[in-house]
Amino acid sequence: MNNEKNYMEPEPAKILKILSLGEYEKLFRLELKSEKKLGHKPLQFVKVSIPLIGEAPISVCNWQEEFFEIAVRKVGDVTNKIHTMETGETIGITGPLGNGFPIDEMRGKDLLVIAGGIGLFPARSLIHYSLANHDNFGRIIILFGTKSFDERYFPEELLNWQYRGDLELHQALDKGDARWGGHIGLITTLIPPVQINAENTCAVIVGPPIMYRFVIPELRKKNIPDTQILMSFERRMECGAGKCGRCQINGPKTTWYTCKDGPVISYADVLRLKLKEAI
Amino acid sequence: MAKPKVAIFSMACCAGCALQIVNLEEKILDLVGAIDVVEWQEGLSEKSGGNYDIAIIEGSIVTEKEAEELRKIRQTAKIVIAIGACAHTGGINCLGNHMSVEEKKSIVYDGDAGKIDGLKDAIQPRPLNAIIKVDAVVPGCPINKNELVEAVKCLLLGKKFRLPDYPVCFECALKENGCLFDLDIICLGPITRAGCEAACPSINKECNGCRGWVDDPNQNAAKDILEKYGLSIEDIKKRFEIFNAYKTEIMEKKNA
Amino acid sequence: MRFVSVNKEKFFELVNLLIKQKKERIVGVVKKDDDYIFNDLENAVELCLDYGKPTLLPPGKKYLLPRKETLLKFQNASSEIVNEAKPITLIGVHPYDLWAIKVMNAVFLSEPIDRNYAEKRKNMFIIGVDYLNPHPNSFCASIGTYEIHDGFDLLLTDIGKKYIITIDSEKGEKFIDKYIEFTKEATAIDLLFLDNAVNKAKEKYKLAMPLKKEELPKFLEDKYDNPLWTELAKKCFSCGKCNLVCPTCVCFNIEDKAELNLQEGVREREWHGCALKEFAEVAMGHNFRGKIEQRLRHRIYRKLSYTVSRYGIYGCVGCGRCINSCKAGIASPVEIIKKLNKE
Repeated sequence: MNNEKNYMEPEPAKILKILSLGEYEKLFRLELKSEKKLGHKPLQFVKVSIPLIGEAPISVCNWQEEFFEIAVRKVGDVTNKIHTMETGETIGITGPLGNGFPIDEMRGKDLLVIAGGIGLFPARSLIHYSLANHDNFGRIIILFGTKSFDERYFPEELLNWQYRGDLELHQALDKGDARWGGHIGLITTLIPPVQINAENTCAVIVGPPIMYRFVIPELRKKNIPDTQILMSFERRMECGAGKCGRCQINGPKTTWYTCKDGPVISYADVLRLKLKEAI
Repeated sequence: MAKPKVAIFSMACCAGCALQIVNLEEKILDLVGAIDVVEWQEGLSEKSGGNYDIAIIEGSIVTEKEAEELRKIRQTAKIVIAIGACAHTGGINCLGNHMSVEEKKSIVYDGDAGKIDGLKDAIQPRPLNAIIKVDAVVPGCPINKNELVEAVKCLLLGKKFRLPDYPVCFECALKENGCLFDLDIICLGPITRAGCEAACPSINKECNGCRGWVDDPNQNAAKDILEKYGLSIEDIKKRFEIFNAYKTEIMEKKNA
Repeated sequence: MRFVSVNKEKFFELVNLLIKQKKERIVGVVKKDDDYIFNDLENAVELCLDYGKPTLLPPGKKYLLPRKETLLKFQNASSEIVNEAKPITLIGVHPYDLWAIKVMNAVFLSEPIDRNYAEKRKNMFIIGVDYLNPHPNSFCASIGTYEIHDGFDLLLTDIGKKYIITIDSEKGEKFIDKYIEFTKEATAIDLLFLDNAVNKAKEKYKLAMPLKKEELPKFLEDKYDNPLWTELAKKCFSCGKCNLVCPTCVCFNIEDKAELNLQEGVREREWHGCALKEFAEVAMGHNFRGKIEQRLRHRIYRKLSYTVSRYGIYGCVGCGRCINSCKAGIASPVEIIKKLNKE
């Protein structure tokens, strides 16, 4: 046995706080037991490990120094299990994993975040980061579209974003609701009215697979350069280390590992690498 | 934590799957340590009368009475596991389903069927999921006992018990078996769901599909191969139906 | 590079000595029915070093990435890394399988290093053997994997009554020095025989890739949407045997297995394959490669193109195991390239 780091070994992390976000979604605030900081970049993810149940890749959804948070939708064994856990209990964490948001490349740009449904979870890490480091960016614009009123996760934060003045938030619900006085329509309908300086805008899309196909043409219509249209992808992952081969997004020319090369990629790179499976 | 209450029921079958539980030998003690078997024809004389955490059911449903009993079990059990081909696919009990119940009675009992009480409410044999919702399946004729233990563990841990969704060929090749087709033995491995650890092909016995098909078997490809190896369409159909006659029946109804 | 020669009887004596010493696992090629497999040896007579049909499972994968490997052990909520690698000697690895181990190295020894693989590789001593009786479904000559000059400790070449041993590692040097009495320094004539044997074998291949391997990635670039993939998919069972038997298919699944007490258990990795339906399926049920044609196309591109752009090494080593194993008769990379090339 050697002492070098083994990527298969999770680090224990303590659940500091749990918050219910929706019918199937919960927020977990975590801290590594070693008291080491996770030190993640926005849009990076971790692997959550629960002994005897398994592992699942989950985006980090905040950007704060002291602790990190993950928002988890109940969809499989690991996520079901973590929903039954309580404050003070321990889970395993591997990470941070993935490339994350290219902070240096996008310095000085206006940030246009387009989040669909639970895409808001990973996007939240970028929004937190941009608010805490507003000097790095020009304007901060957030477009958030979701199915229903109850799927407006973090409603208080949304409210705060709406009125705090240093960012612009536009929201849409797919379906109308008596409690909702705002815009109704798909997220794509939020794009045309937004006034932006396309040359200097970095758009970031996070949402369900189907969303990318419809959002990208809208952004291109606005003349945002392909190099400044970023997407964060989600795929099946087993190892998170570029070995297991499960998260590959391929095309006629090459293959791209979501866990190691991604999860963030520009539309220009998707075209350059001809990653046909991406969208 | 209180031990989960488990009941084991036998419907129409040879009871060979429940026997596999007895065959667990050393593991049965661990199993009994983890669960509380409250009802079992093969192993216990008393009846507990309901409220099971897990109901394990073997056999297919061949009478109205059984169907009623099955519905009652469903109402009182949190989790229902169908074990074995009869419970899962209907198994060989469904082989005669191309005939009506009356036809079968007259052929088998030569007009004396009316005198036999148990035959009065006979119905066309059915797998469990034709009558009730089944939460997990442990397929096979007989079941792979290790797989049953895995299923129980998964359910106790709150995990979904998943069957492999790939064919027997994968497990057969893992065991470094040569292919039976190369010995001119016609095998249904390419379309049958894995999980049996290729038990039959490993002893040079062809697969007859007792675990049912993978989710979307490439039946046309299978027919191609079987034809290539000299089977007629009629032969192929017969081979397919040994354990999967009910599925064929359903598919034919759908296509009709 | 150093060469020695060893009489065949002497070599088998040496193998028996190694077996008797019981210092490490001694694994070699043995016959199983009409096929060959790598298996633990009890006696050197079992060895079939002149085998033509590649072994059912490739040795590199079988012993460096065991089909079920424990990664973590759980005990009452605590977890512990498991990385057990016992010394093992493989006897009879063909050049294409040595090439395949290079591909495995590229995957598992690149950052982050896979500790379990690295430990197993470190503990493995490889005695290769030149492939002098190529099987009709092998096409190593056309893609340059019929010979190899590194990546082994020792490489045997059968020149009749004796083997010429090429030594390519420090471990190999030490081994030969330790058992020097079994060998003789190779003569110039021995080396002529060696070259002659390998070159003659090169001419024996019946199957050849129609294009140079360097041309394949570019060639495939406009074949992604070719109707051939759908054509082949009609015959494919998604059984994954083409993945399983491939010496460079190293994708895996990770799963937790509990004991019945629900307190203890292990995290295991198991072989998986891109031809299997569930390969790219996620928890919510969406399958990112749900169609058979997408999966079988991925395998071919992975072998002939993707590993080149990613690791700078070809993913297909020409052994032909996929051809041997596919009952539908659609797995052959050679046939696929031929068909794509005809249009």
